[in-house]
Amino acid sequence: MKTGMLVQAQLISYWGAIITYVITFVMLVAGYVFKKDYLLTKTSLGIYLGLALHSAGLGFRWAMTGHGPYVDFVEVVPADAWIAMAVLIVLQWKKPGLKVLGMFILPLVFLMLGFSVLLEQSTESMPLTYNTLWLYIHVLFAKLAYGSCLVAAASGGLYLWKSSHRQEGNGLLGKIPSLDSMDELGYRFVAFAFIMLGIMILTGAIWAHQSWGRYWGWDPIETWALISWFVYGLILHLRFTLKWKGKWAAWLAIGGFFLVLFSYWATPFIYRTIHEHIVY
Amino acid sequence: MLRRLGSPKLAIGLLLAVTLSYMAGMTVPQKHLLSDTDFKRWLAEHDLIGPVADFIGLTHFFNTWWFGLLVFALTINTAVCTWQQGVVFRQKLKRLKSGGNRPTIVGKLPTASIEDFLEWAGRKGYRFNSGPLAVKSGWGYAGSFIFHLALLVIVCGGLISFLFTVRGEVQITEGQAFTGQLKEYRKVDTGRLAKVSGEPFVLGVDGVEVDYPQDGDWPTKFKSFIVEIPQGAPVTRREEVTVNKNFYINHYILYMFKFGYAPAIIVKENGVEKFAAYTQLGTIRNKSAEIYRGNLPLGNNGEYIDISFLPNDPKGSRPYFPGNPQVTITLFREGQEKAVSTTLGVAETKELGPYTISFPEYRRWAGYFVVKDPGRVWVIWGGWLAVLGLMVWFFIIPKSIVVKNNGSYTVVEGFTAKYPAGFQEELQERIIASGGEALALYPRPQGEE
Repeated sequence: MKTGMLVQAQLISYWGAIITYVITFVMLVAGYVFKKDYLLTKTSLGIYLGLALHSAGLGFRWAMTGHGPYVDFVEVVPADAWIAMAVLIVLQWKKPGLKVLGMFILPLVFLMLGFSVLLEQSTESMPLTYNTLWLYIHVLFAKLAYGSCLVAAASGGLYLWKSSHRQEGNGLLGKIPSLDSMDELGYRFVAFAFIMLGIMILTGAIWAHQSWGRYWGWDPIETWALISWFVYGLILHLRFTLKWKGKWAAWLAIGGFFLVLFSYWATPFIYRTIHEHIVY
Repeated sequence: MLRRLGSPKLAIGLLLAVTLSYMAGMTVPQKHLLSDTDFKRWLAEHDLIGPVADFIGLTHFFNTWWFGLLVFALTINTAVCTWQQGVVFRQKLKRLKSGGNRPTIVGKLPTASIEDFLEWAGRKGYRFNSGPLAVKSGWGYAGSFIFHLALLVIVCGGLISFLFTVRGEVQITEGQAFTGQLKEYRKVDTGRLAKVSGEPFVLGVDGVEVDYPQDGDWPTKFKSFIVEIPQGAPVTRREEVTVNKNFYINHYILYMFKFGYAPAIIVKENGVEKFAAYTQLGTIRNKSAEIYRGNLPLGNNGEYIDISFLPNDPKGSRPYFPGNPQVTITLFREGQEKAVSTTLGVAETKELGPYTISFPEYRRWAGYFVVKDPGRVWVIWGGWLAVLGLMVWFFIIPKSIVVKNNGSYTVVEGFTAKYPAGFQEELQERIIASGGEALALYPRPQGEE
């Protein structure tokens, strides 16, 4: 296929995914608000269909560039959105009660995807430093880390929402797992994110050492990633030592997620960083 | 005192202080990421905040005394905490082995089923060596200790790097050698206790190659070949070096990161040779153009010549391939006044003002980072140890089972600190399957801690 056709196919797939995600989100909200279980049941179909279209879009992009979605923003954003959806699917498969997390994750995903289709669909050459196995290891752990941060924050959001209402009833609030469960889930994902962020930083350091001869260079993205790791370490210390659980933990998980978003997405726009993909 | 030094509350305070310092430092440009000119421009543009930020060290925060002090305090806190974690690990393990914890599950087994039960427990990894108690994964308590110990290893590695690292940049022309002398580096940074004084090796570059895609100008790979030449001996090693494929020798690592052209230029004045060498030209390479330029001072009243290398003149579509290489040489007088210019092909000689310029041939040069960092091994292995510690901390959960014969029946108790999913269920299921009865005690009744 020619490049132009691949771009078209990619955009059509992404738009299809966006529309599917939006419809699924509306069904999810309507199902919970109007207590229509059949709508909730149908949302799984929407999520799978959306993810299939989303995956096809990523595939077309991959075929066009010849490399995975890790070089420039226009491919990294949809890939991260894909990870968020994959995490949602795994969670609701393991615990059907967590389907409600979709109310937080779906809007984020269709906004991310919508943002990426509005960007110029140009292709960047793959930097020569990317020619290493460490790229895949580093990116894998980065995605796992950000996925975990997202789930921890979504759990925190649900916790705060549920805890702000005295009576659960059998409507939407009743469908959300208990406060203790949400708190425990949030904690587990904060801990998991801490480990994944640690491995991401370590593999990045090894890669940097292999490519540039230094494992740490105080580059803005490196420094912000370290700040994120420290913050997740602080959240865990606060939980173990000062017993900051429940609402405090929920707010911290949400704050941590925004910090991670900033570290990952905003820093290349604010700072001059070596992570802007050096092409020799 | 010691307890206070290692207290988790102090750790929280210090972690917060270090994190906020990082954040504050990242709100202003960092000196090492900017050129001197850009940094001075930033200071001039922010005449109020800039000098204050620079004075208190925010523009180079990780090199300031106060940040060093914070990291030092956090290291002491971590060191004491590590020691305490070691003590706690031993205490917890002892408690687990003595059955001193509150059971998570209790059950009663008919005494006749005890053999079956013990066999099952053995298959599951519980070892009853002597006595009624078996422990599984007791070392899971060591996770926190391992993690904190690893942080100390990383900090030690960072300190070693800070003190002893040598990191320089060299550009070696094809056919020329490098011996690690200070004068050979274009730029070199050394740790506080490191010095550059030449190395007992001689390295040469005997080729620089660039690969291109069939339909494009952008290099897919560039590589050089480094040879090791022991003093007075023939070449012993020849290795390809490219991005991510480095050359290791005597604790040094050479990282190739760029390449360029080095035309041989001979300058004569009144028949006397003033200059004769390969001139490594700087390379400005972007998507639309490649420019190879450099200049050479001639020493006469501020005169210098500007040299531009044209690999394929007239310009073709693939200028990286030298098809008809030429150099354009321009003579500048003091005050950057352009005097005269000429273009030479390979093996040509021309007059340029009072000078005679020859261009006999050209070669390529390869640019390398030359790094000796004795701290890197500590940091990287410390990092893996930290990951191991975290994995153990969060995923390896110590458990124990006590089996006590009470005459007509046997009491089984299961202990674990973190109530992992499946432990109670597994044990309960087994006891019931053996004809006994069991009661899971977790989650605890409300109001009971």
